[in-house]
Amino acid sequence: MPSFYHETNTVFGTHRNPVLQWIFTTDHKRIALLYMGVMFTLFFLAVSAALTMRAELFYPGQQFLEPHTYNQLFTFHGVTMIFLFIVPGIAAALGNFVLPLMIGARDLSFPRLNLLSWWLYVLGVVTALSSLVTGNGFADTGWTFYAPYSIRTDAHVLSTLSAAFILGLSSILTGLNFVVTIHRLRAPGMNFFKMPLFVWGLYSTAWIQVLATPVIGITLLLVILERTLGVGIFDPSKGGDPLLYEHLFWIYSHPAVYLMILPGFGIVSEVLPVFTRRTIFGYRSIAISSASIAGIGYLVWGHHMFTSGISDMARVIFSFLTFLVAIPTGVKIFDWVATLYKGSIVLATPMLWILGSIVNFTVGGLTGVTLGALGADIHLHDTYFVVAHFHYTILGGVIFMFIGGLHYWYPKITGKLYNEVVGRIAFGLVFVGFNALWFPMFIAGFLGNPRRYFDYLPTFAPYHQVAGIGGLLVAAGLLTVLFNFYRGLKNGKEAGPNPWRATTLEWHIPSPPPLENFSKIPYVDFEPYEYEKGEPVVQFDENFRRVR
Amino acid sequence: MEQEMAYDIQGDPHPVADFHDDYNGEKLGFWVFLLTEAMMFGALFLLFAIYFYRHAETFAASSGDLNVWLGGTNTVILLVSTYTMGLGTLMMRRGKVKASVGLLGLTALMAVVFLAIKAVEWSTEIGHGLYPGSGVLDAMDKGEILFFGLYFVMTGLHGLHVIAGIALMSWVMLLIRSGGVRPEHTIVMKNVTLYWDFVHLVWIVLFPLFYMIGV
Amino acid sequence: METSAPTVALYTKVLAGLLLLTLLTFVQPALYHLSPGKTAGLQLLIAAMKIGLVAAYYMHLRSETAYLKGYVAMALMILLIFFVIVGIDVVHS
Repeated sequence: MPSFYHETNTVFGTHRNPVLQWIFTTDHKRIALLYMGVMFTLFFLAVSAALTMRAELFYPGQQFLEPHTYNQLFTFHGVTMIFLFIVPGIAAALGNFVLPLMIGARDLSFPRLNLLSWWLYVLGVVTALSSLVTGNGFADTGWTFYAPYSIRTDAHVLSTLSAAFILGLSSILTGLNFVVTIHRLRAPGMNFFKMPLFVWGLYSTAWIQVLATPVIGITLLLVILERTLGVGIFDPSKGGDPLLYEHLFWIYSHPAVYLMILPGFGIVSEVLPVFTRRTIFGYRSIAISSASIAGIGYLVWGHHMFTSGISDMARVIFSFLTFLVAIPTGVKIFDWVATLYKGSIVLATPMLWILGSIVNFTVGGLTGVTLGALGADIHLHDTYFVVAHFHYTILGGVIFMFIGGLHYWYPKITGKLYNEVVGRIAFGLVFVGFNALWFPMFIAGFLGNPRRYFDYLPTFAPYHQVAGIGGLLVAAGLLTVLFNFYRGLKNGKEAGPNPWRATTLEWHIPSPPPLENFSKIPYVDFEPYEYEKGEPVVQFDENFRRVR
Repeated sequence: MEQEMAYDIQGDPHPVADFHDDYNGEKLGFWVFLLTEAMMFGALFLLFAIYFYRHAETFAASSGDLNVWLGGTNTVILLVSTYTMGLGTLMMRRGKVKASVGLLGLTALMAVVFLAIKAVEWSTEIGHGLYPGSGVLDAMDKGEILFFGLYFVMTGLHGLHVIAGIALMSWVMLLIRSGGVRPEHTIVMKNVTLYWDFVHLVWIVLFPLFYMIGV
Repeated sequence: METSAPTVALYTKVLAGLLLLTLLTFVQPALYHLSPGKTAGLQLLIAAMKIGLVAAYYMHLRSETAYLKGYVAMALMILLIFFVIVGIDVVHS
């Protein structure tokens, strides 16, 4: 049976040129791979920027970078990692591929809109990267573009802002597509509480994409208008209020981090049942907690502004709400640990990444709660403590979950198996390296090392040096993952439809899937993770009728 | 296209949703899009609210500089145009294609008149030096700079949406000619009607906040 | 699917209501001379009624599914919360 690699549907009629068959495809599986290709190229670019900074910071004093260049590097690292990689993130790369498969659909509700999302993404990438070679060089404002500096700086901020706006559009359209798909295209019988938890994660994420992104879209547009027309909305010399910029910026950017983690949480909930050979503990509470995190996540943005000059009343409100949002996450972690308890744990590579992510995210999440405490935040704001916090949650959490998901669905996407031993070694390198890279930064930050400075006091040198070594280990580990995936493609064993003996619908179709996913759409009257004595309960015949 | 079925364990058939022709899905998708627009304009109204709170008297004085008669006329024009648009879609569903096209054209015409009046207003204001970045405006009170900054951004964004609306209506007319919109398949026209209603909703809030506080 | 098909008569009745409310918008400052803030408040109240009519009847929200109504309400709620919290911050600054 031909797979989706052999045949496809395209917009603008049929083409025989293979390149056109990829870039004009409307098949969600190909679009997912198109996203992955661009995203991971950018990811490695941003990692290189980070390693460059770590090299400069290996010793105190100037090594080889100018201060202005350093500012551009951390702006580039932030903009690329956040807007170009992690915001499309798991949803665009894995969600696009897996969502229709998991709900028993043949594609998303709007396949051509999906392709448009990818094209907008590419346009955004090109626009953002263009400022590396045009104007006065890349933006140096930090990825947060705070007014009034972003209005006044000479650096080429316009293209980065425009890029972020275009990427916002891409994100909104993907979110819209997922919301409608999940509402309309679930297989007959699959009600909301029979959906896999990855789908719940994608659903909650989609609503954040839809409702929060427009706010930053218009805010960045206003900064563009400020720079070009002198409108005066955020410019203090014209009566504007930079604090209002921060409010609007963070009204998106805080929910954005939940947009990053919720699909990751979904992956954890998928991987755990498979590698404990039992159903997940507390399915309903995990599902509802995803929605709650999305909901409460809209209310906490002010905790990024505790030292910016907001009122004491607002500070108290935001601190309280920030503590509140930790609760649904705690519920999830409890459910996951309960799933592990008395499960038959298989420490395969995806499982290692997921377990590592839970450890890392717990550290990251708890330090977030620390930052949510007003008194502590006054001391810790703008130090390396904050940077360590969000790297523990985003890199240690989201990226670990992403890589775990890539390993988990690798056989489904490629039809091959990667090397398990190499996989575990890569995980070890990254896990050890990551903690060496970022844990010292909690301490350095607590002791007063500021962030976004191109230099530091000599007493902090040991922390930066340990971090530097850690960074190299992470890079080595990531390259090993890449190498493992490449080798799997070339020489890997055939995976078959269900190498993990998992239960969700995507494992009942061939690897890699055919163009239309399912020869027949099954009727779903079962829970997503039904295991009995460590084996999947549900089985289908070749006409997708349930036999067990 | 034959309705695909999924069979349960008893052998009973259940219809499978088809994304190729999903009226409810396409309507839901468009509503979700409208919600994104609501959030975008909402953020702008938030900015207006804060600055109005801080500069209430100056905002009122600046509002007096706007032409209430032209703005008011535009309000009525937009209002009536949503009526004709809605009737246009209704006629299409009832199979009265000619009446539908006529009403659609009337709506587009009114939208063009709206833009023309807006252009007259803007050129008058710009002629007086009341535009963002002008030396005249920058020398005025902070409240006035903010008022006109918001005025041009928000009516400008709204105007862009009117232009897009005219483009969409033209597209619908082409689709009616080619059969993409026909009495059995009206979702595109229905969605454009929803869009036009939304454009009107924004104006319903814009008009009093910019024009009526200074009367 | 919409539960009741709209009629020309319904649309026209709503138009009449909207025109009446628009008239009210125009004459309100002459009838009640209020401070800018209070004027804005009253005008927004009239605007809210117009929005209700347009959304319920022209946009057919009244006959839509509970889901859709719920989502519209959710988006407006979130917007409202932004106004409230930022408002609290500004008022207390």
